[in-house]
Amino acid sequence: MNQDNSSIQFLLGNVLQNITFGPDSILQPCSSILDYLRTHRQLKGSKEGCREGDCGACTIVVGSLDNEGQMQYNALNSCLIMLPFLHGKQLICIEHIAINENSRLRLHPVQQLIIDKFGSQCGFCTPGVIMSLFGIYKSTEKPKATELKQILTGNLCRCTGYKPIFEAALDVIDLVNHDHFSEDEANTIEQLQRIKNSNLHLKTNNQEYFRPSNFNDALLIRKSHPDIKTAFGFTDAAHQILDKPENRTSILDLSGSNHNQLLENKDHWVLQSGITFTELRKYGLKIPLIKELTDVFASLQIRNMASLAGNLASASPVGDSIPVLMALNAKVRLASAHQNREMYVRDFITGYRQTQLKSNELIDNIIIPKPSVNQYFRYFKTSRRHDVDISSVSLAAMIDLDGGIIKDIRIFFGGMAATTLMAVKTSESLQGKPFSKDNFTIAESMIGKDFSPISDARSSEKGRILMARGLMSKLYESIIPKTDHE
Amino acid sequence: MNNTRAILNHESALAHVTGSAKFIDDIPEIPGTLCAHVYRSTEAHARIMSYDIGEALKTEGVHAILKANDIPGKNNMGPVVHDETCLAESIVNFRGEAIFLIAADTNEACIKAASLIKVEYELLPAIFTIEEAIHHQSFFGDGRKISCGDSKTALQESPLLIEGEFRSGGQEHWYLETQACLCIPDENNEMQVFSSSQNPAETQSIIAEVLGLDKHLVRVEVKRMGGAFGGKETQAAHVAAWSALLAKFTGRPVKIRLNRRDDQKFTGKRHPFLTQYKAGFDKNGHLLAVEMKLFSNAGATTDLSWAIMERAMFHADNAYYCPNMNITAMVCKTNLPSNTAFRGFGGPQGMAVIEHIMDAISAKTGIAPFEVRKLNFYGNTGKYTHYGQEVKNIHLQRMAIELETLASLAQRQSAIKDFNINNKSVKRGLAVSPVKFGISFTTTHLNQAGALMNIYQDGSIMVSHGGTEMGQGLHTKIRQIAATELGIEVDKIRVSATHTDHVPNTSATAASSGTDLNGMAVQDAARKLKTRLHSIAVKLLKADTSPEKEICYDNSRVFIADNPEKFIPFNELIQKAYFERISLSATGFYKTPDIHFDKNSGKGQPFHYFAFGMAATEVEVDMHSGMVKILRTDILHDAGNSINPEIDKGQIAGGYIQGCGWCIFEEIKYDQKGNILNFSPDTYKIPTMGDMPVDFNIHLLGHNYHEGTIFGSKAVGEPPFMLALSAWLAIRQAIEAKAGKEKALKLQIPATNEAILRCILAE
Repeated sequence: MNQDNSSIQFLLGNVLQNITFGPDSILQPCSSILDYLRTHRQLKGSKEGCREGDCGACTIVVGSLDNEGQMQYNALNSCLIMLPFLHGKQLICIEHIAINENSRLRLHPVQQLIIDKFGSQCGFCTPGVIMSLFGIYKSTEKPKATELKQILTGNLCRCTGYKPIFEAALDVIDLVNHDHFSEDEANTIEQLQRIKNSNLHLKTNNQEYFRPSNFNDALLIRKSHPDIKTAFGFTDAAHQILDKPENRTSILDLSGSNHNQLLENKDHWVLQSGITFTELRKYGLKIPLIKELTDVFASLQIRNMASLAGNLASASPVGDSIPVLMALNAKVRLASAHQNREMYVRDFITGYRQTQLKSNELIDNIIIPKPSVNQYFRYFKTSRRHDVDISSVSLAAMIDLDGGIIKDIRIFFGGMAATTLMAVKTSESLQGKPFSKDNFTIAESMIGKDFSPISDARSSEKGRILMARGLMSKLYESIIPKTDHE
Repeated sequence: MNNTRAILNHESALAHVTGSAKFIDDIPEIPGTLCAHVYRSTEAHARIMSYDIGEALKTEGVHAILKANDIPGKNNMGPVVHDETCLAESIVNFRGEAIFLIAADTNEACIKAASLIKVEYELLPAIFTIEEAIHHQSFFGDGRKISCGDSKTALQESPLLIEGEFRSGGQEHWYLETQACLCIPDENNEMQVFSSSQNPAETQSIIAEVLGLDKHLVRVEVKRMGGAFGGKETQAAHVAAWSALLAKFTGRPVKIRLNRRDDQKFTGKRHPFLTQYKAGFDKNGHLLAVEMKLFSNAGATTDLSWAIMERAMFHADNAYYCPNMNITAMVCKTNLPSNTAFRGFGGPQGMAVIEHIMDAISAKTGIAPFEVRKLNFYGNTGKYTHYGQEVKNIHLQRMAIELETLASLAQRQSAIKDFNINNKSVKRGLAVSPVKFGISFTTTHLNQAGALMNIYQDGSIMVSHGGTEMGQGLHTKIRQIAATELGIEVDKIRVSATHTDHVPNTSATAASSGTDLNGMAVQDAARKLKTRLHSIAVKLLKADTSPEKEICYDNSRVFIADNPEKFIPFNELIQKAYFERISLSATGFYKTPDIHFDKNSGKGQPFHYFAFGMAATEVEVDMHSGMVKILRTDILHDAGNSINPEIDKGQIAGGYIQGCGWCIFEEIKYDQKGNILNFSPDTYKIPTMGDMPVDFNIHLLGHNYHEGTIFGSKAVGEPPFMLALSAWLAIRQAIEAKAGKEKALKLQIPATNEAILRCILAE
């Protein structure tokens, strides 16, 4: 194993911080960045609106070095991220983006835009909105105007109706990236390069926190600590860790393990488990369904942290990626210090939030077979709200068509049972049949035989059946050529 | 007025964007400040048989655990009716009712202590829905009635009739800043309170009563709220009373800030309504008679439920004249947290029913929905409301004409028709709905406001007034009013935080009245000061001393009207006035004239005036998922002679989107035991930027000076909320294109994707 380090170093704004964890340290490794800023640094500009990554009032931007050694900036929810994540990075919060010049305040251009557009009313969401806009301002590839709304859905505002914020964002994408961060960038890069990317082993009286710098070391830790709470981006796990002291005694944080490459061979794409949804989005053009998936997956702040493997390992019945991976006939490769094994994703999940993952194993990668020309993949999601909403019902399907005959069909539904499941009877009823409206109508009526969903906060049982039927109609209509419409 | 009507940004904008704007939780803590935790009932309706706090008290770091009999004053936090205990005594009436208060050094210690408290309950039968309340005759009070004409006969004689039931759902405020209060005990029994409250005077009253103190010992300060929307009108006093009790008992500062989940679970929301209605009309679409029986789900205590119901009754006509109306109402008592004020205050719930009736008339007569609405507008066949108030200065007809052009309604309706013919699985709909909203507190005595204006020797000015800033831009408008009145730069005016010791006995900042009332009071204070300055100004200007000569204040100069060349700078005048020993501090006061209402007869003139608005919304509905996209919204709104058009447009955009939340996305579900199911943003979905109309146009009605209000402006806080009804009505149009009129009429509020699918696929 690499040398362990009991302290973390990062830049707060442009000032180097060194936090050493030991038996008597007041700060715990499982302190959220939000608590660190507000309580320990008395930087109260970042707000707590929900503490579960939905509202974005706590949004910060984290600068880090990309593979080419250049700065990249990501907007993140500080309420969901724990301090060790910052090791080797630059933490930028609302207090850092305006600067004092000769005792005069020089606002950042995104701040001035929000003022000019009347983009703040009560002002509570504003720091988070500013930081998201700042993240857009600092992005190397500026988003298109049409993408802006989706990018900003992670910042809830109850006052403005979003109109002025959207108008400000439209102006932000036209701005040239030149601010005091770009002026200081060479220095920032130099400072970050000096921070050693070592294994973190942070131990206090109550907590033991591992953040290995490579995947093999992670496997060794997993082996020696079978009960360790493990996650990559912690966007799901952070709730449990931050709310309950008993869940934070022993943590394995994989976000530093540099296990985020996309490998490709003739027949497969191999996605290393640390790939985030944002990274996945960049690969979206190559892999079918990934764009559809990432379009509806959470908010930018969450996508910047959350990993595909984490979403899979949560084994939630409404995990967005699970039906997609199942329909793609994807496999998951599990690794331990001694051996590896592979299985289909549909076999990997064994029950409500249950998987085959053993206490000494980690997801190594996800293997997606490349489709043939006759294969059609589709993914649809029904939710109460378009963006940043967990599905009531989702459908992913793979259809092999041969001259208008359905050679093979696999339809998976999320939200219809305790786990994502294949609609067996529904799929079977279409197997070998001509691809026709009539046959799909028959298939639709089979959904009730495949599933008896529950009623919960999102939808009722009856509503879910209606939604599943609706998604079957969508599936049909999405494949037939336009001219054939009914 | 001209110089200050230029674009003026929100007075806190710079603080907002730099993160330096302080909310309650951002106030630096004095060392020794304690954390607090509210121990709440786990049962919806139960008798407390026994409890044990002995072990909890031994927890390390715990300073106090308080119970009902520790309260030195009155155990009440009910704002109107004293039916709400601060801490439960023998019976708990809803899940989440406060029983004990814990103060400790750390939050962890609070939680640990709470886990050691034991309470034994004897369960009592609980009811949660309006239907259950009707069945058990569980109501607050005896019911109310407002009527005109003879609806019974008119219904019998009406050529066409409809009747049915209509439901609208609750809504969580989801202010970004949850309920919060910091109390700091001071010498001589004083209590300094920093509250996130729309109603500092009432927060002061309740703390004083609970602590058994005179009000002058309790000083409440409200700098700003991180959103409120009615949710902090009465219920901000709860966390305030609890933290004050703990602060008093421990002698230490105590802060309570509810976390998001507790705030969603345990604080009040918009009232769900059930309305039984009958309406009679003729084949030309004229409304002849309406009967409505309104029921609201008030939860466990009265809170503002009757005032809210009253406003629903007042707005059961919305913009439509009906000669025969009979509106009756009952407020249901259930075992849920007490529902409370929320932007619109019953108005949306009342209006939704009459808008539904308009759609039903359209369906029965075959007359287009907007045509039916226009036919029945006030001003065509009548102008007196069912409560006897004349609707004056009606803008409805003018707005309909202007909106038809602004939104190209005719062309788009025909384009939508074509679209719907060519698309089976996605349908579009376009609907227009009007708003007529009565402005004033319907409780007449609340329509008063005070202000305090201090001019310092350098000519800079501090204004205090009774209104609170929750993002609506009130303080910005107050600065403009004061600056205009004194003819000086806005920069010379500071608006202080709202303090109960600057201006006493104020009303809540509510009912859209903030600028109307407080603006007038500030103007009054400024005019008093100008009167005092008159003689010295005359002297300095060496002018003719005849009193008819008007002294002008403009451009930071003071001069005689007919001789602007000869002036003295404003700050010079002030300096001189100080040496002449003229008081440079004045209070201002205002009460709305000529309003009255008799609850017994149901007649009067409860409103100072009406604000109007109209919106056209086009939606696209996915017939397979029920999901809605708002394609275009055009709003024409009546803000009178707007004091700050950009701020008013901000209120309109925000109100509309919040209204879309209520109409489309936001639904509150309970289980059989009265547990709220969607108590976090994970499952309770307020609109995001993605839900904003693709094309979103807001226009203020031009050339629109309104006599008798501050600078001719009109209130704009609440009315735009109800413009969102047009989105719900547009969804119905889209459903109609797929499934016919009858199924479309089944769509109630909220029109969630599930509700939409159920309508389309209804048997």
